[in-house]
Amino acid sequence: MAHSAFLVVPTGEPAEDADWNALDRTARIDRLQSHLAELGEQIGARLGELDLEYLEGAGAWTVRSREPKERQELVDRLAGLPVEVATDDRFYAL
Amino acid sequence: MGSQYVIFVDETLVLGSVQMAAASAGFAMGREADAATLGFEQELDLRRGVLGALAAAMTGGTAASVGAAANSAVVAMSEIAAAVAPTFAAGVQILEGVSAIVVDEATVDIASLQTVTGLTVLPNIEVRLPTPVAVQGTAPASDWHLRRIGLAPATPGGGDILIGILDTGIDAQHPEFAGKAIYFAEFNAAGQLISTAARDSGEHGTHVSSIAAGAMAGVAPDADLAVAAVLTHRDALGRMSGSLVQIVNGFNWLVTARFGQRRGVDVINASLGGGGFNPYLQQSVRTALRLGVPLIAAIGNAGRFGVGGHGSPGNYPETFGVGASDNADVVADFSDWGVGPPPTGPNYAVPELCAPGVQVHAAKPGGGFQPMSGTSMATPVVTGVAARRMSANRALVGNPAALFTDLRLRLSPCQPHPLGNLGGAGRIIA
Repeated sequence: MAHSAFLVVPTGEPAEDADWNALDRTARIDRLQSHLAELGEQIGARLGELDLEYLEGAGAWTVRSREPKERQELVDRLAGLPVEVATDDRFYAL
Repeated sequence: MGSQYVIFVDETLVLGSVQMAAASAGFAMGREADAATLGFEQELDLRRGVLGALAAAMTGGTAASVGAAANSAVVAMSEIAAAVAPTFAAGVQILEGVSAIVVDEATVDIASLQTVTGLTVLPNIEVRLPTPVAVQGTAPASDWHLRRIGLAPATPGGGDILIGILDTGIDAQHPEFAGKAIYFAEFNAAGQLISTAARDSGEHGTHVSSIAAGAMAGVAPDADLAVAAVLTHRDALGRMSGSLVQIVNGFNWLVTARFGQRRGVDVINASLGGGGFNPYLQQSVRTALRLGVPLIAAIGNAGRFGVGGHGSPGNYPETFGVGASDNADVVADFSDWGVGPPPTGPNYAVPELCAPGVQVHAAKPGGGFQPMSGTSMATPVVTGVAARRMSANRALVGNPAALFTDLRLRLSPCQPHPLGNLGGAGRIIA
């Protein structure tokens, strides 16, 4: 069970290819993942022992650790990459 | 001790004072924002201060002074709450969690209090739980939310459409969902998928799902459901909530999971909101749109205090934000409205439109039906209409821009609430 979890989002959005509208959903998911793959590898290399999960429908990553982690530690370790570590927020039933 | 009375104070008075006190202390406005930034104990302290100040006026004053205190609460009681630690007369009890004050009959002028706007004075009666009985009935007691948009109950629609629900879960055994394909995944606070056994952590998700696609209360009774349980934490006030990571992982599952032969849902309903504008969830919403999955979301229940403080994701320009209206097509007093807060670009009005959201009868976990009010209830009405439209016109599936354009053409006028709440471009029709 993870103790800490953070959302990491890219600061830019990959450009849509000219044939984007002709792709079905699975092809779009694969194309987006391909565009973000290199960035994902860079994030993984920086975070080392932490668990990194790519969210293919969100274009973002979940980072989890078994030990308590502060957001600032992730911010420092990912410095220079075009990503942000999300601050947590709570969402309520309305 | 003499008879006791319970005095319920209009929540808008209390909430307004709490929010103004919070703002004066440097916290963000907006109900969800307060909950997120104030902290639970701080919010309760402020509520206690507001009610205590009113109680002090009750026990030492006249109806006129109490009325003045109540009627001026929004502009004055925040200062009282922030600066004064009220001393209570004997026999006064503050119930800050439910915006009520308990008083002994001898300490106040009950007849005078009954004339004060914003107060509801009730005898403190002894309540015994009735012998439990099964809640029966195969149809809700009221179906106004369907008839108002032009539907009779159980009007076929929504076939071959999969609606995604981001909520507390679902009671999949409820007769409302009989014969329907229901996919389910529950996520913990770290965003990990922990169960696929359908359940509702509260009652909200079952109600919302029933409005979207239930057999009798549903707008699109032939649609199937994929439910991501992401609001699984109940706080001391009974509010169901989830973390950002939990929400995004559930959202991701709805967008990308394989549901039978299908990849992802056709539309997502989010009857939830966070504290103010959240840029991180917006990234996910944009990605989903690029993948062809539209999001329809509640605009918020902070009412007149929601101006500029609407919670995400209902306040994104990419989202179809939904307000609530009543059975006379008047916007509900709790329904958020105003101007969206984009980080860049021109301002835009929120909500996009409104839909029936006051005293909507829909499924209750365990069986039967119950009424609920909120922009949460209005949102699945619009989602259900979206499902009906996509089912009737497959060109709208996977094309959020076309779907939203289509929905914008299916509106009837709605009236502003006397407090000023606006309902967007109009009330949805099926």
